[in-house]
Amino acid sequence: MDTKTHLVWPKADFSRIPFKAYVDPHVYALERERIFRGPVWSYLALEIELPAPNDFKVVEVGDLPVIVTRNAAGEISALLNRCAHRGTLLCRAERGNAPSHTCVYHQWRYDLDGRLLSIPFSRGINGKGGLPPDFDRDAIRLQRMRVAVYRGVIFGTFSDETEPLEAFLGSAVLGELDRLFHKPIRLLGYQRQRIAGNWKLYCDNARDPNHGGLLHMFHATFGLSRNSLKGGARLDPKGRHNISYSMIGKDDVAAKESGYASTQKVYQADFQLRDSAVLKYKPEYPDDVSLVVMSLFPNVVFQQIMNSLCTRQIRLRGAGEFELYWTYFGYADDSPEMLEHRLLQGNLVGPGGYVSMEDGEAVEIVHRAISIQPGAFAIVEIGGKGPILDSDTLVTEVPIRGFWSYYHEVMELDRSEDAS
Amino acid sequence: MSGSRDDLAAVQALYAQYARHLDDNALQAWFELFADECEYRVVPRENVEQGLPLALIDCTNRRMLADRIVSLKEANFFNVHYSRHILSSITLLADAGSDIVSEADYTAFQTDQEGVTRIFSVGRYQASMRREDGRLKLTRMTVVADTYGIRTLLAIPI
Repeated sequence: MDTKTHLVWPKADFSRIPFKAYVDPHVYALERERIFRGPVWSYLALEIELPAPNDFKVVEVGDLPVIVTRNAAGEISALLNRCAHRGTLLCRAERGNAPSHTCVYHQWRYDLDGRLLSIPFSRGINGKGGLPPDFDRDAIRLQRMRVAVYRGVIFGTFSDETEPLEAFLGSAVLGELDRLFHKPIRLLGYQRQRIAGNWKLYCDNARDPNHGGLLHMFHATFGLSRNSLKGGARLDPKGRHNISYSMIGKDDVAAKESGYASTQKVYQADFQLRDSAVLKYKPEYPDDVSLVVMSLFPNVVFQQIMNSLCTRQIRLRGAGEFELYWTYFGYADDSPEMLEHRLLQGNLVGPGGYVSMEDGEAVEIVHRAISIQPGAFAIVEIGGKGPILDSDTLVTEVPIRGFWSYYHEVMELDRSEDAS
Repeated sequence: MSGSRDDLAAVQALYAQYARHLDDNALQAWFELFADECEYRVVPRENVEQGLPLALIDCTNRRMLADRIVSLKEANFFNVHYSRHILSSITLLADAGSDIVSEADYTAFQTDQEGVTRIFSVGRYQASMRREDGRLKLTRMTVVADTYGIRTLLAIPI
């Protein structure tokens, strides 16, 4: 790699993260190529969003605009949203239904598999102008992603090298997707959040169970997810994906009292909501797990926070900004009461959510402060150093080291010797 | 009610108080503008247009609205800022029984601790109001946010 993007890793176990990795525009440019066009599966959308043939939706892979669509045969296809002619954004609508896509600039038209269908005035007028005789229309095609669908979740990759989706996700992640998508779902709506910070600060945030009961004081105050709850974090063999989970009602009282003793106004024993419906968990899985935050490398989080279910897609806007795109769903057979309950628990999460609003602020104040001294390092030692393993406690940030270990691998960065 | 001049003046006065209390960070006073039976919602315009029911904030009764205010005060962290709400096009809509139904456009600015101001949200208020003890109170406020890409976070009501 070139010296512009040289990053220093003082510890082989990734217990130090160079701030430069979050703020450097050269690193960002490399991420575009090696991650978002590299050998990983990115989350695109849910099949339920494209129920009918010709339905389409424009999403982003990193910062690359991609049309996800269902062709006449019912298959999902994903195309780089850029006209092959002069590079215009091909599809300007965010969603809709169209059997073909026509560029507004010079009206080149493509089918849903990216083939060029027609070019106006291709033979010119009266023998003058138009395309040269050897113009090879068949050679022109929109860039396509390879697409794989698991349990109605659509993933795509630009690389031919990417391993099969199920191998990339691993058995623990597949098990969680089986659980979350065990029956047909119903789309409930979207929320969007613009955060002025690097996208990887959010990846860290989602792999940091320890912050849940400390930053999000609503959690701690109302007992939704205190750090003393029974829970933990599981990883795939490469450490790149993380499943943080906890079980409501399985609180260790002594650990709670001592653990929160030094904090500011985090835990108040006598604090109660006037209407606690928002906190009620209605079990709907054959286990005691009431909270799962599963973050997959590189761009998605799957969430079960009690009965609030959603995906969060991370869309990049340069090194210093990203969009979080939240897609909420319930189950197709939800009763009217269950639907109402799910919508009510929408109050918990998203940009205005009781237990998530602070993430936007946390990412921004980190980004702001690390930008002024990018030569320094973050410390990641909670939950232990050394091997990157599963945790059976919420007081851990080991999954962050898992993310960076795989980031280092996929970015092909040179690791310096362990200085410790 | 058919949009009399008195009603319009009363509605304008209620909107003015609503904006003033939010801008003064007087959330308890803002809360007192709501009737005993009330709803407060902030909904993304894109969900409304697609017929999707999900909101950003969804308080379906007065107790939930009170909880929101307590949580903001006691539990949540959010960006330190001043709010400023500018309202326009206050309109009385058709009669809906005893309630006055109205709409207004809003712009909500946020000013940070360095004194720099940005547009935080623009959209439309859809409000229902009723006289309670001689005063006009909000029975329903739906904030339809054109700005559904929320900058940083949404803590203080719009």
